[in-house]
Amino acid sequence: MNVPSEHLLYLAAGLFAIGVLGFLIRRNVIVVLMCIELMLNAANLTFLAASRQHSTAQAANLDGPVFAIFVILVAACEAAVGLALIIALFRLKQSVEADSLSEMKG
Amino acid sequence: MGGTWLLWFIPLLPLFGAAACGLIHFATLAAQKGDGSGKRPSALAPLVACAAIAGSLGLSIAAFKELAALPADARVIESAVWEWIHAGSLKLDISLVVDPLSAVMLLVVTGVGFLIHVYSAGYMKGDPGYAKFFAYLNLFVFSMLMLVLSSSLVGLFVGWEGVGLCSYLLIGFWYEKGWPAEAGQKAFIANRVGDASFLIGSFILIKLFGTLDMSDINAAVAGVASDPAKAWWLTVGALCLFGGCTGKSAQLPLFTWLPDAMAGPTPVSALIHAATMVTAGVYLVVRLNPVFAADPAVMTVIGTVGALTALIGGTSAIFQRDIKKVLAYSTVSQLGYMFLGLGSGAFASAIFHLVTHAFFKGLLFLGAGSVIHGMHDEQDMHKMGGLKHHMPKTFATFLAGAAALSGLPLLSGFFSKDEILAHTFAHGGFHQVLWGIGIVTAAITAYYTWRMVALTFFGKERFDHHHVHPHESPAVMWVPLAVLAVLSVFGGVLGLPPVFHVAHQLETWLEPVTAPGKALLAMHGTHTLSHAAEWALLGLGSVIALVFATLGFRAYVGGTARDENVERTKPALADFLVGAWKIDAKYYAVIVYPAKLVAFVTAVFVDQFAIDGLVNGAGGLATATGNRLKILVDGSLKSYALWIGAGAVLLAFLWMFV
Repeated sequence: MNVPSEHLLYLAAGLFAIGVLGFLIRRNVIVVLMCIELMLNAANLTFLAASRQHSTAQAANLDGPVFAIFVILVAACEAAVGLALIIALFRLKQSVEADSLSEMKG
Repeated sequence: MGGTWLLWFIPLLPLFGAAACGLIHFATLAAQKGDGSGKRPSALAPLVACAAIAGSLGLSIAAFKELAALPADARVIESAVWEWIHAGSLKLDISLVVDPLSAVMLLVVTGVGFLIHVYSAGYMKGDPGYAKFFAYLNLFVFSMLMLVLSSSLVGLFVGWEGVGLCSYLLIGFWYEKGWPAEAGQKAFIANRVGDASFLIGSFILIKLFGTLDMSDINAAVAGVASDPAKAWWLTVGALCLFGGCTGKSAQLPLFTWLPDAMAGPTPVSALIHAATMVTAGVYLVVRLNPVFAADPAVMTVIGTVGALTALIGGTSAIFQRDIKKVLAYSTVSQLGYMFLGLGSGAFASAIFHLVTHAFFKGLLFLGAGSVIHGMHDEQDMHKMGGLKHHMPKTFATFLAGAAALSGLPLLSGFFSKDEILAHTFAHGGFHQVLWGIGIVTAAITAYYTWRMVALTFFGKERFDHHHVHPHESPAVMWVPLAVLAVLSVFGGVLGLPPVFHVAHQLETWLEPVTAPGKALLAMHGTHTLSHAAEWALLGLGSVIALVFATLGFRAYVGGTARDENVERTKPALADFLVGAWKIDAKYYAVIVYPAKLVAFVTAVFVDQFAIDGLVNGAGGLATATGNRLKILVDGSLKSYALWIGAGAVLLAFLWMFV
C-alpha cells in the first residue's frame, strides 16, 4: 500500500487545527497541554511526510526523522515541566482552570 | 655613553619612578585600610623618586661630557627610534636630540629637580598623599625632559602639555581646601589659551616648511624669509608661537595664573613655577630662534611684552604680604627679563638668566618653604619677623638667594641681568626705552627683595609665641638650600661680561644653536658696546641694586609700619599694586563673569526647558502609548494564545499570497 504524501499532510493539518482549536477553547490546563502535544505531533508528521517525499529508492532522507526525534525529546521535557507547573498551580489555586490565571494583567 | 639609546633613559627613569610611586601610593592606601598605619610603603616613595632623578642627572652629565668632547660645530647627539607619522609629505620621527641648548636645560632640570626632590622628602613628610606627590613630581620631570629633548615640535608639544597637566595636578594637590583646586583650573585654562595659539603657530609652520623637525625648520628659515609672500606668514606663525610662550611662561596677557599657582606645595612652586616649567617659553624661543629673528618686528613685540611684564610683575610684588606671592610676582618679572633679552637677540643671555634664576629663585622658594614649615604654615610676612635667630641656616641661604635676585654685584643674578640690560641698551632705538623699563624694574626688584628679607628675618618677632615656635628645618631640607646657595653665588662664572676679558662660557657653548638667529638679525645691523659703555652700565646696575636694596631693607627692618602707612594714605595705590594692576580683576569682569552668565543661562533655560523638555517628552510619549496599549494585555492565557495564533495565521497568509 502506498499512501500519497499529500494525504499525510492533510492529516497533519487536521491534527494541528484540532490542537489549535482545543488550545483556544478548552479551559482545563491539562487539556491545553495535551493540545500542544497534538500540535507538536502534527508537526512531526509533516516532517516525516516531507522527508519521505524527498527520499529516493537508493538514499533515504533522514533529516525529517532526526527532527522528529528532537521534537519528541523537547515535547517530553515540556510535558514534564508543564505537568509540574500544573501541580504547583493546583496547590496555589485549588483549580486547573486557565481563566483563573490573570495576575499578570497589565 | 655606550649608545645613543641611553638617551631614552634620561626621561624614562622619572617615568618609571612616577609609575613606582603611584603603585606605592595605592599600596599605602591599602595599608591604611588594613591596619590604619600606612607608613611603611609611603616611606619608600622619596627614595624611588630621588633615585630616578639622580639616575637622569647622571645620564645627563654623561651626555653633556659626550657632547663637550665633540668639535663645536658637530655637537648633536640624536637617537631616533621609529617613524611616528608619515602622511603625504609630512614625516615625523620619534627621536630625542641633545645639542648644547638641550644639554644646558637637561642639567638645570635634573640638577635643580634632584635638589628639590630631596627637599620635598622633608617638606612633605606626614602628608597623606606623600607617595602621590612624588609620583606627580617624577611625572613632571619626565614631561619636562621630553619637552627639552624632543627633536620635533610635536614631541615638544607633548612635553609642553605634560608639564601643564602636572602643574595642574600639583597646584591642586591639596584640593580638599577648595581654592587650590580652583587655582589649578585657572592655570590650566590660561595655559589652554596659550596652547591654542601654539598649535595655530605649529600649523602655520607645517604649511610653510612641510616639516616639524626643529633643526630642519631652523635650516630652512632663511629661504622662507626671503620670499615676501611666505615671510608674512612666518611672522604670523612666530607671533602665534610666542602666544603659546606667554601662556606657559606667564607673560602679558596670560600671566595671572602664576600668582594663584602658589596654592600648590612650596617645592612645586620652586620646581615648576620658578625653575623649570615656566622657562619652557624661553627655551622654545631660543630653540626656534631663526623663526623669531626673521622679522625684527616679532623681536620688538617679544622685547616689549617682556619689559612690560617685568615692570608689572615687579611693581605687583612691592606690597604683597604673602611671602610666596612676592616670589611669584618676582618670577613673573624675571621671566619678563628673559623675554626682554630674547627680544634684543641676546639668546644666550636669556638662557644664562634662566639658569641663574633657576638657582636663586629655586633657592628662595625652598627657603620660603623652610620658613613656612618652621612657622607652622604661616605665609604672611607681617606675622613673621626676627627669624634669623631661630632659623640661621635658612636665613644664610635665603640671604644668598636674595642678594642674587636683587643683582648685588658679583653674584649670579648681577651678571645675567646686567648682560640682558646691556644687550637691550646696545640694540638701540626703541629698545633703549625697554632698557629704561628694565633698569627701573631692577631697582624695584632690589627694593621688594630686601623688604621681604627684612620683614621675614629681621625686626621684632610679630608672631604669637604661645602657638608658634619657629624651628630650623631638618638637614634633608637645608642641605639642598646650601647647594643652591653656592650655585646662586658663584653661578655668574658661567657668563662673565666681556670687560673681564674671560670667554663667556655659556655664550660660546650655545653658539652653534644661536648662530642662525644671530645671522638673520645681523642683516638688520649689528650692535656692540664699547668697554667704557659696558663699565658704565655695570656700574649703574651695581649702584641701583645697592641703593634700592638698602632702601628696601631700611624701610622694613623696623617693622611693618611702612606698609600700614601706604595702606592708610594711598589705599588706591596699594590696592592697585597688590591686585597686580587689576588685570586679573578685569579678566574676571570681561571674560570670566560673562562666561559664567552664559553658562548659567544655558543651564537654567536651555538645559532645563529645551533639553530636559525633549527628554521628558520622549518619556511621556512612551508612557502615553503604553497606557493606550495595555488593554491588550488582559492577563488571560487564552487571549495571548489567540493573538499568537492570529499572528501565525497572518504570517502564513502573507507568506503564501503576498
